[in-house]
Amino acid sequence: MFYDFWIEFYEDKLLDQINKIGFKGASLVNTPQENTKKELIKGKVISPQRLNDLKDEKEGFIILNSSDKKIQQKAVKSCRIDAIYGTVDFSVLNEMRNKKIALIVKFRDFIYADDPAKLLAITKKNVFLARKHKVPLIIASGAKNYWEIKSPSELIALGIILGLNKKEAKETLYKLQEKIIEREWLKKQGKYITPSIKIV
Amino acid sequence: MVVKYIKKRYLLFEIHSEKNISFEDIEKAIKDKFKELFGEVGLSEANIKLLNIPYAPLFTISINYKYIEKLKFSLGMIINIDNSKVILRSLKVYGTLKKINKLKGGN
Repeated sequence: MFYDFWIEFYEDKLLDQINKIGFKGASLVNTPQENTKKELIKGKVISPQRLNDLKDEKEGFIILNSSDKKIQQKAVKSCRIDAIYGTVDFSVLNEMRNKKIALIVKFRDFIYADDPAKLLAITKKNVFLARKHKVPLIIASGAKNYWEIKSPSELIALGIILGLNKKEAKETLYKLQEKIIEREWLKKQGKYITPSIKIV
Repeated sequence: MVVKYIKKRYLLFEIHSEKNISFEDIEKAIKDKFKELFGEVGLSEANIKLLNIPYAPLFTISINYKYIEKLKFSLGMIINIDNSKVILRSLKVYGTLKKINKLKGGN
């Protein structure tokens, strides 16, 4: 039922390992591995420095890593992105809600943070704004190796600490992810045209 | 004097590690991480106790029910104990020890 949408490594038995913990699937971010399984989708983090660096990615789970207001505005309006990582500017929140672009939070950041209290405070503020504007949220482990994969209950606990209630915290692990997995599966089969049109 | 009864919960968790880690080290690591995140007051109110049941690598923590999510978060934040990589994975929350004891075949 749950999905870990930010895993930065690949092993042959990865799907079995995450299934055992309680995840149904995952997004493999920045890994070159090609997969044929429906539950494992490709992900990519784009970190544009300037407005001109923004390009439309054709497939996969696309995460914008930028806290720049102008880049966020342009990306949300004209590019195909699925999530924003970092501090979200107030001006893009409504557009994010309409286009179902999520705010993504990584558990790994808290493990290696120099000042976890400060990071928690900043993230809590971000989550509060996202919740207020009904922007979808995604909580992921951000694991770079086997030892950093977190179980769903730990990610839910993080959601609750960030100010969500239990239902909302659970939704961050599957609600938007199910739609993205389905979209990517249709794309692989060549049946996807636009968000509202698909070949039956 | 009337003392308010503190509702307890029992969190069952499993531990994966590169090498064997002693019970005392696990308890110390959990309490230290909890204290680092939620402070001395949080730790005293949470009333954390590590229990050596049902069987290794499964352990149980007894805790004040209000702090259960904070404890799960703390377990997730622990990646090293005694210079060995570890994963502490919370499995299930129980209301009594009876069911946890049944896991090891007891009554």
